[in-house]
Amino acid sequence: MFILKLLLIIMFTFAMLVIGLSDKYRTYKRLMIIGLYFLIVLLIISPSLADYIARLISVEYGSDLAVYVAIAILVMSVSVIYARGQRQIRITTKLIRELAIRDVKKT
Amino acid sequence: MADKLAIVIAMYNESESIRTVLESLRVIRPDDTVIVVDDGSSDNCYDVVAEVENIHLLKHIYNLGQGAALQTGIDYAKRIHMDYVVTYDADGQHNADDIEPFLQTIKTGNYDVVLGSRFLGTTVNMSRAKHYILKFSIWFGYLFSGLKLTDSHNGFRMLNLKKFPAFEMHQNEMSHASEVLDIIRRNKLSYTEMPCTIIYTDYSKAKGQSIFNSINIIIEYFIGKAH
Repeated sequence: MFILKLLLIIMFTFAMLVIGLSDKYRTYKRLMIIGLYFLIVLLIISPSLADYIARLISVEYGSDLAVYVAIAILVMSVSVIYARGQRQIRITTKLIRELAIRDVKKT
Repeated sequence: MADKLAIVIAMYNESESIRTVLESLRVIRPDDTVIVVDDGSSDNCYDVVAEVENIHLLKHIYNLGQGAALQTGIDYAKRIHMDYVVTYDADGQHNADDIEPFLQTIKTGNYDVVLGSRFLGTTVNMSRAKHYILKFSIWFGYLFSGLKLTDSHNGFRMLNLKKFPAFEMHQNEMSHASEVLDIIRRNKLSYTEMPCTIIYTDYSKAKGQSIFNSINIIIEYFIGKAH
């Protein structure tokens, strides 16, 4: 049972690092966040379903599962925002570099 | 036609040392093209360099990091059709006499990259802590790039732009040194190490990387790889 939880954590961490932080996989990122959002809505609307799914993956209560899913949404969102920031840095670097080369001074 | 070598220097607030560095280069390497990239300095080092003759002086309008400044210099060197580029520190740690042996090696061996090694060469006044951090970086570099080197974080390196003009670093800050190893591995570049001299003065130690910044370098390196 612990192994199942560990596997889920590893899969999620991998998804965050590879999909969340990458410039590519835009559709997968959106699908993951939207998917997690609808999952959390479902867990809130139907506590009995939440409990059922929680037991399937060795989490004791549906409310605990809802908290974990909320954390997953937060972490994915932060990864996506961070990746977007890094992309902006790369664009800014290119602009500053072009300006520097254009305005070179030969002493 | 003689091969053209550019010496690329990234400079950030080096008004105290840069004139001495440039004057020494002018004496020892009078025929080479010297490219200085001011990385958004807040002191007057740009003006100091502007008074030295025969320098190609570029300026970032905002501080981006040493890696970014070196890549700007390399990109400029490509545009003015340089054959080889050597990256050189602005704080006086490097020795201009090391450039000629590197140039001879890269030409006769037809290497894509020649990497400097302080552990094959000479260090002056290196602290014990720095020694151990650099030894750790060798192991780290080997773990992630597979390259067995004696010095994996040395700013003194020569690039063969004739053979590999597509050389490009994307990491803006100090992790660019680790990225160079990734570039070598990914593109299967031919490389070798050569001894070089690194001189640690009180000035260069004060300006240099703190031991704790090694943690930032590792984090930046992994985040850069994720892209």
